[in-house]
Amino acid sequence: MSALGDFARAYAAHAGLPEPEIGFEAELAARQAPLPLWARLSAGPCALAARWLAPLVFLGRPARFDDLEPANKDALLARLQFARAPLLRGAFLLIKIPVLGACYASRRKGA
Amino acid sequence: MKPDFDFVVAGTGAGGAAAAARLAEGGARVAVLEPGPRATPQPDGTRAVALYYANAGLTAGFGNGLFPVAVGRTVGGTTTINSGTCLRPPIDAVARWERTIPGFDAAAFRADVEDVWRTLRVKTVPAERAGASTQLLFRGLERLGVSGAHYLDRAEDGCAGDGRCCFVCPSGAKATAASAFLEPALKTGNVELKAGWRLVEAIPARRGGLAGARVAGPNGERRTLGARGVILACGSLATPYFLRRIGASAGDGLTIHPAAKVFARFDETVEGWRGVPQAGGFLDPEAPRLRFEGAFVPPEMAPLTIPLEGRRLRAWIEAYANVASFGFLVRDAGRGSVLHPVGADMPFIRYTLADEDLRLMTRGMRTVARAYLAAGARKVLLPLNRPDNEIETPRALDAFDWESVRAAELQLMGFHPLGTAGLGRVVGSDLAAAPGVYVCDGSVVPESLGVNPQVTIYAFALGLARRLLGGRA
Repeated sequence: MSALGDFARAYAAHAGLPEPEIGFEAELAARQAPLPLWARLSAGPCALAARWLAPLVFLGRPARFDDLEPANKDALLARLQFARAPLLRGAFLLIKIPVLGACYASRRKGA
Repeated sequence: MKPDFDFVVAGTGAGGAAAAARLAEGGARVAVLEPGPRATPQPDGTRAVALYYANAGLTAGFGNGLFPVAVGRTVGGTTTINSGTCLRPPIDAVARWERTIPGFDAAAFRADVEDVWRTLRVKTVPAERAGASTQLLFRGLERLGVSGAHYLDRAEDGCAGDGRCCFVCPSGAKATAASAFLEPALKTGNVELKAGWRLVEAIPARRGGLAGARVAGPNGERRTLGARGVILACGSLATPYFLRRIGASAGDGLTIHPAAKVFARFDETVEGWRGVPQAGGFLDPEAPRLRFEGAFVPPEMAPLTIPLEGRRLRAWIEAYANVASFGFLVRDAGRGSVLHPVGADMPFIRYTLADEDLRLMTRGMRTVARAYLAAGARKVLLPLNRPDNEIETPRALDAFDWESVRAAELQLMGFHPLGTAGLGRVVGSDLAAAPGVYVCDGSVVPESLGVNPQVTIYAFALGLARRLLGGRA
């Protein structure tokens, strides 16, 4: 179980999205394979920080992302998405590319 | 010493492919280096980005915001993953180059532009092939009494309206640097395409001798190719790396055409992925540095481009069949620079969005949002990373605090990096950077154009090839 996989599962559960047919780990691995090495290496630590550290930093809550109430999960994701610091938004993008790809893999053409 | 080739061309985008093709047609023997793979259509846009965009689509500039920049790394360069839109270079820009750049021949350049137009078989998008996003925007503009919107000209022959131009055209109908220039040139027998090979270093000619190119193959093998000339066509983000290695002062003056798009949700079905996504456009009549152009990404790309997260994002994705989007770009006054601390493939981009460009960006989003609301949209989503980015009425749009918008909040992208080896600054009107070393890509464009630049770059390439052939082509 990877840090990215754990975050993807928690994200999907919050957004009400199903697990990909081939499972999160396989889907994420396939999506990360063509990315540059630096992006692959960075995604795990970024996901770890988003899941464990971000609730404390942005919401003042020493809790895992998974354990937050739905409204707080949305608030935390919004803080990351709406971050004005380019590096922070860039780091969140490194998680979003594989995770959102995997989470929305079964939802094509608005179906 | 006998040269291995007459010319070595690094890069197969608009500049490299067109120069190589015309040199080959003129009888020159040309080696063409392309580090990226040949592109094949992908059913999933995210995979096309990962395979055929430079750094898997992760190229970005940093400054007073985050500025992703989309460039291709495949045979055909960025033309393989662009919208195919063709616009001639602005008249005022060409006139300025003629006035200020010694030796620039505007008449010859304009003739080259028309040559490009014919070669790319440019034609206007027929109304029935335009995506519904464009039709809805045109409807809104008409209701607002805004005139000037028109269908765009595109490089294509037999477009089926698959809606995936930026992710490798599924039908192959889009005319790219590869299909319009490189493939025909390969048939002359004068071009050797070295796919998987990349330039390591350009070597200027000394005392009237040969120039050269140190190159590396896909398996790490190294060779030095001697040639009459080496043409750098690696794009605005990579070419400065090679220029600095030969002592040229390149890398500054970067413009990117900051661009963004507004999403709009309708009750009616839009299915914006059908038809040509960039089918229509218009110039802001009161702010001519602001150009509007169609923009719609297929559903698999949408989660990454919509500036929302969590359940708000999911709500938009669930309704994506009812979502339209339309974009705009700014002829930027802001400038950036590119450095290469770890090599040509990993540019470090600095870019500052100028205040006046920020004002044009907010004007652009206001215009598109107003038009979509007039067309009947239930709500619009502004390209802003802030919680109040969803707007439901024209009154709310007018009441929005536009002055509070910061560059760091914009959800934007740069699609046309230009100017890092600008004509008149780094290279002369003959596009020479050093004896036997020439530059021919977006980097030589001296200023922000405000139009999709492929026609301009192709035209520079045809002019270079003609000069190198001594006027024979």
